[in-house]
Amino acid sequence: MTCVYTSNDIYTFVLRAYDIIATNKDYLTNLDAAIGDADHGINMERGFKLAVERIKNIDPNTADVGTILLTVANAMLETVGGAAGPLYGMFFMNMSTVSSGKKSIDLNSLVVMLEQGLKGIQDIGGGTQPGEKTMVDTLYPFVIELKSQLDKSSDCKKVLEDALKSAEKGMMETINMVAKKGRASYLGERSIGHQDPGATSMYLILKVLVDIMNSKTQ
Amino acid sequence: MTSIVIVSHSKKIADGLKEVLDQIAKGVNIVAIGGAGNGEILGSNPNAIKDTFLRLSNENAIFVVCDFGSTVLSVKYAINMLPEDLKKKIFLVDAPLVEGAYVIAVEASSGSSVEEILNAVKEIRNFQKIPR
Repeated sequence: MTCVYTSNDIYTFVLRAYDIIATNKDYLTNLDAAIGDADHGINMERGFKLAVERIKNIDPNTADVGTILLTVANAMLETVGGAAGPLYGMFFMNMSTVSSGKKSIDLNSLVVMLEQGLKGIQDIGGGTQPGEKTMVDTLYPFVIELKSQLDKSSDCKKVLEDALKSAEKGMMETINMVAKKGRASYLGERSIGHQDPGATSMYLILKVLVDIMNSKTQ
Repeated sequence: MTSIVIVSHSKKIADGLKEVLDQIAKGVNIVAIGGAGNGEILGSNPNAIKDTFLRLSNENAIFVVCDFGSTVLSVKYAINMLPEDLKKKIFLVDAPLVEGAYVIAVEASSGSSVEEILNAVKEIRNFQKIPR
């Protein structure tokens, strides 16, 4: 069983992340309409669309993982426009730094990449913690679960699926949270009852990552 | 020299504020960055902000004023990516965009120190526009 993501897998991840974001564009925008400024799906679709256009200039057979993720980071930074731009930009930028020069990454390396990505999001968000109704509520439990499962199991499919379940649980828990960051925080208690759009887009992106490994190991 | 970098979701807002400040603050370099992409999208472009800071690396002090939300995150991202010596010269101020930029421009053009400018910015945050 090959528990690694190659450059080709990461390339496919970018293409499929664009597809899932584009498919859920209206869904994300509607979630954002309830507690934000109704542009999250539109912004994310624009960012990933540029990422896909730009990675077409990259040959995944020769490129390293870092180069592919750097291209995604810059596309997010330059065209997303909203808060998701610097947040996802920082996320992919930090992941690209750790994976620079690597043509394949195992799950332990993936943990390090995601930890650095998470740290970047937390830093520029002003020390964002789980429980504040943000993308951290999805990413944080994913990373924690992935790390702890890796210590116990060598079944990479199960490890990733458990991590994804934790991420989904975190995303669902944002419904009952009071927003502490971003425009939704202006609503205070009125933000309760709405699922966070950033937590949702993060879940969709992590789901693609997990699905790619599943399709390899089947 | 001192620079003031205005960061707004809207290129028109940033350019309009620069126009005002250019008139009142001689000897201060005013830079407007508005919108995402090349300014055609409402929002912010952290890479463009980072590149602006790098271009201003010979300045003595760079004051940054933002409108809200993503512009603040974008500036924080950009600062994060800079060399340490340049980071030290950048002052991201917590003040209303127009009033904050205005008071920095006035203070900087009259030769105030960085500390004096930052104190003036603090005061403007509580400034009552309409006396009651």
